[in-house]
Amino acid sequence: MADVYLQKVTQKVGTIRFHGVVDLNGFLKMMRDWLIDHKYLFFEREFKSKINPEGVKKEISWTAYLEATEYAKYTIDLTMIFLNCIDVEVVKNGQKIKLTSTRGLIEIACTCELDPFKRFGGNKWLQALQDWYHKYIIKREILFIHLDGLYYHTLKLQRAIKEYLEFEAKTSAK
Amino acid sequence: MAETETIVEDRKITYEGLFSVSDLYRLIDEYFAKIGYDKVEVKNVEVVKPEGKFIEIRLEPYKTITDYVRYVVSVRIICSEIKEVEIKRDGHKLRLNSGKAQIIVNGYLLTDWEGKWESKPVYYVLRALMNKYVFQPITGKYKGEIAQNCEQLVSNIKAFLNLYRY
Repeated sequence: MADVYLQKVTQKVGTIRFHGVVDLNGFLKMMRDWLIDHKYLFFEREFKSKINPEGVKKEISWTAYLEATEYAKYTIDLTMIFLNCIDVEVVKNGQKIKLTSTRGLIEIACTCELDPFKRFGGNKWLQALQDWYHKYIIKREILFIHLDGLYYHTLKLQRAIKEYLEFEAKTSAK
Repeated sequence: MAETETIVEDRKITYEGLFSVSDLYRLIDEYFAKIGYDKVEVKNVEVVKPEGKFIEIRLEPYKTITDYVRYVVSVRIICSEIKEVEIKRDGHKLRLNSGKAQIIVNGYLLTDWEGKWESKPVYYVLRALMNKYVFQPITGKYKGEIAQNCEQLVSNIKAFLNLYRY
């Protein structure tokens, strides 16, 4: 079947890399809570943990879905790799706390899928009708409400991640 | 695949001394938001090293002008040996960063960014001919705008960094 215009669009939001000491469990909990607070259905697709001489290597993949409307479904994909995870004890504000020294990589991508329930699915004529509908009737709605809206919404998650990791460049215009 | 033309190539600003990384990032972000560019943060790296933090940020904001033309400005911010310092200015304590910063700005003009004129060889040839003989006065105006946007950004960054010299 021919591809329908803007049927499923994936946008890569950004890559965050860091090397330092962080509360890894708190970090993962913060991201999960952010997704759940914004009404996403959260799933952990993959969790790999491998013990190396340099430290533990963790690979985590998360997917979160949100049915924004009957016609649009938003997905946020998070891929995280943490290398050389070593537990360390740090004195912060006069208290001893357990943190993790690690090198982390976080990739965030968002996908907007239109017609997830395949209402236009079936024959070529319906697909052509859907293609025409996307190109000439609801193109502006797709681009400005769904795609842009989802992208900037995911940027807020990226900002939350940078704030938790205490990045210098966590500020933004909005 | 869009046709990319480089308008501004490797416009560099190098600075060493006191400044605020977060304010610098906010300045660049606000500038692009003000002139109507969409935010794209490709990479954000922060590594804590013994000599200070190493920060690398890559931004590629874009502005869609028509369904054929798009402006893209690539900004790379590389900061090294970044340490937090506290200074007193006018009786107030200010938390700033001290270290080295290099900002590299590139400006690109993307034509046929949707890839509509590449599906067939005939379209590709038509596109090349139109770009070369018909659209030249129009793309000239677009090139001027990108160059102006990049120069204004560079001026703003220089003015911002100059504030911390005194």
